[in-house]
Amino acid sequence: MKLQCIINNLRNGIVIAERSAAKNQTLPILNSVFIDAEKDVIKLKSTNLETALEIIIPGKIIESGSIVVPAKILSSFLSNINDDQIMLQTNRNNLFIKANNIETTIQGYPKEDFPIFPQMNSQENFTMQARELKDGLSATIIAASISDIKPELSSVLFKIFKNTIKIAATDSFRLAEKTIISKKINKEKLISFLIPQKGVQEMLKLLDQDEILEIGINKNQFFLSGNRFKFISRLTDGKFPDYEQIMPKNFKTVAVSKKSDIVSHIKLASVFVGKLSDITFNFDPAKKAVLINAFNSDVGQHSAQINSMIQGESVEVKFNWRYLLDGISQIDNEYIEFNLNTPESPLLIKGKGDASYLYLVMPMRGA
Amino acid sequence: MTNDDLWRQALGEIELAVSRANFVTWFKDTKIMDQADGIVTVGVPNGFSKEWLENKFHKFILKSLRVRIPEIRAINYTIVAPSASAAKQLKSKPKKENVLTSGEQLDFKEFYIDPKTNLNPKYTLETFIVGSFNELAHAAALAVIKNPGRVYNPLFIYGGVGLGKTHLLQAIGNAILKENQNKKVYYITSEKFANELLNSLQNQTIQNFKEKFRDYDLLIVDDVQFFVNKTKTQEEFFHMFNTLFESGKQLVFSSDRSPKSIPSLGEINDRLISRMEAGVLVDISEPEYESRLAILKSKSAEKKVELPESTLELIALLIQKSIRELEGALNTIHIQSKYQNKVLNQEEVKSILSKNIKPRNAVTPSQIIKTVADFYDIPEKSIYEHTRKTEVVRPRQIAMFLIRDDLGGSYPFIGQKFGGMDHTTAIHAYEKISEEVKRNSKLEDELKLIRDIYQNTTATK
Repeated sequence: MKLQCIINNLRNGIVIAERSAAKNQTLPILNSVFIDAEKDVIKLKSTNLETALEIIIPGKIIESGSIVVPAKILSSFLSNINDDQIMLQTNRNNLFIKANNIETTIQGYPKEDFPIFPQMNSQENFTMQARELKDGLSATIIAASISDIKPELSSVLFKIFKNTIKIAATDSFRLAEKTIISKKINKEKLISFLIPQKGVQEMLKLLDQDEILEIGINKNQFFLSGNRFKFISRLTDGKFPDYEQIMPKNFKTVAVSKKSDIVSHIKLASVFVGKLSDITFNFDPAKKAVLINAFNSDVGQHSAQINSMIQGESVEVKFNWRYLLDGISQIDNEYIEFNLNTPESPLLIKGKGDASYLYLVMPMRGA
Repeated sequence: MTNDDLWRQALGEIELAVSRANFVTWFKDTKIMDQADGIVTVGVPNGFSKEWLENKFHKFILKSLRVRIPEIRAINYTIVAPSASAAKQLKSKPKKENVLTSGEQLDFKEFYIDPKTNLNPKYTLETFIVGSFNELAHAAALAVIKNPGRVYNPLFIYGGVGLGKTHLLQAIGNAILKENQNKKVYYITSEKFANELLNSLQNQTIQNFKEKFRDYDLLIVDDVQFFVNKTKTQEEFFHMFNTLFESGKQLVFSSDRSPKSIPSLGEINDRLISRMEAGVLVDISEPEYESRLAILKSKSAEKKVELPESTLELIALLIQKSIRELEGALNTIHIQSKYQNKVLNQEEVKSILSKNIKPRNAVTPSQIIKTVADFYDIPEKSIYEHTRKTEVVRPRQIAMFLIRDDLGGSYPFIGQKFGGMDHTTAIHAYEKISEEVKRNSKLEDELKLIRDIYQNTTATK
């Protein structure tokens, strides 16, 4: 193999590929990146056996071939050279690199030992706009559980039926759901699958251009391909809780507040929260305001009043401020609508007049 | 040689021939799933292992299997998720779970429910308190668990609100699952069944819906009385019932009244009800004092609530109607004493609970008489008259019975109340009804309905 490319292109590609390579895997070849120039494009491949990535970088192939080299070594090396162009060449199992004043050899592995990527034989296919997918994933992953104990809760759910895609995640304390209506999709049968959180995080980093993505799934795997990359993730084996039944339909109290007000007041009050991160909210229709109160015996006490439109009963309820802010910041709307019933039942947050994103959060005891 | 033995021996040989790292990476969590007609199916944890074993180790694996069983011709590889125990070992290192979520943060309770079976694992037989009020139901449940689908099929449990029907139903499911993980158990409320059916009709996925239900070894349907008025649901349910019943699958139902007294509406319903009655019918009645106390003790141990014995006794004495109310009272007292940061005395407990208990004795004899008259649709004043028309005599006897039973009125008082009748008439009425109620479940339900009416109306006043 012999190829020539702009260092920046190679560097960016390797940095992305390195993220998908394994860390501390027993098999050293899994910590490597596969540089494939067998055909007309240069591809970088890496995998940790849960996710796999293939990315195309611009460059010129002088002689076709391929090689496997440790990802970490190559990326550290590339991040420290300032030249413009670079030339890569194989020398048996080693990679020979030449730039202006540099000649380097990196020890590689036999390419036969690199894992074979699963074939993209998907049972279901559909396409999606990258921006929609990215928005949907980033708005929901905040609610996914960070613990691995229940794999279905540390995953993001996709539910596709007719022309509607629902993306949802929950850690059992809060739940986020994004609904996307797409003209490009029409599935007669309900498709639902769970993508592990790690896979989603990698996808979020990959999706930086607006393009049309091809998505395929089969029983165990998820395939995502864009113009310059292909991404594979395993699917979580498990059943997502039947979350639609916990979505409350009727509310005793509805409040509408300005997003900027509520965000800045929560942040302000967060200075004074105790170690449970709790802020007390009093939705008071008589005062036409949400009264918030934070108290920390070591720091002090803080209260504020946010003028809002409130209908229904007065209710006082306590929340973890991080959970609230996580959801509110995902809503792209000038006004935020709070819907609730009692101090022990979930609060539904959404943008005013917009049900495409719903964020449900459970309160804390003892308001 | 079992599949496990075979695979262990084959792996022993493979391990010698490949490097440790390779072996661990590619053969971890693999196993033989199935072996038939010379074809072995090997389960692998992910797509990469599948490709790798197929492409790199296939001949090798085949050879080492053939040494042991020469008939083996081919190997299939299939992706299966590692079993739960294996997955746990992988993740044994404790993650720093959100510290702040401890205790005070509430969560979606519905998520404790196992989505595959719809059962809540907290309902077990071990936590089910047995007393004279429910021992029959408990015994029937045990028989079903021991021998699902054979005896007592279908099992129909009925009783009032908050007496532990759902607990017992779910405990049956959990116990059967505990004995055999592979049994397909499903718990559903009749309401949810109706909703799911409706959804599947709208989405044209009715076939999937049917297939899903026909697959279960044990189907538990809670609160079947809500099927009333839903003809299409009844019809679908009826067919499902037949399919499951004929293939020897166990069915368990619950209702707040006996099948006989579920209002009948149309032919389907009658057929459905007669099917439900074909197995065994058991009822759960209201718990007596000792059972209530035992339940309170078990609940407080489970919730780690520490209340003095005398408080528990007082709660058990005051709250008589349902176990759910008992639990609510326990919670209320616990929260109150936690926030006041002291042990509440008897008077305080009484005053807190009196706000929550429906006053049971606030009913007057006249109200009972009026309710009975309304219920049987006769003019109220005819009850007071000395008439012997059957349509009046029976309601009169029932009213007498209720005044005696619920209000403890003396016979002479009752006689007096009913336009100066003799006290022996009252005695006769009481004995007649109390005898009949034992044999006639329809009468029992009527009494229950009447009681519900006057107890609720006085509570709301």
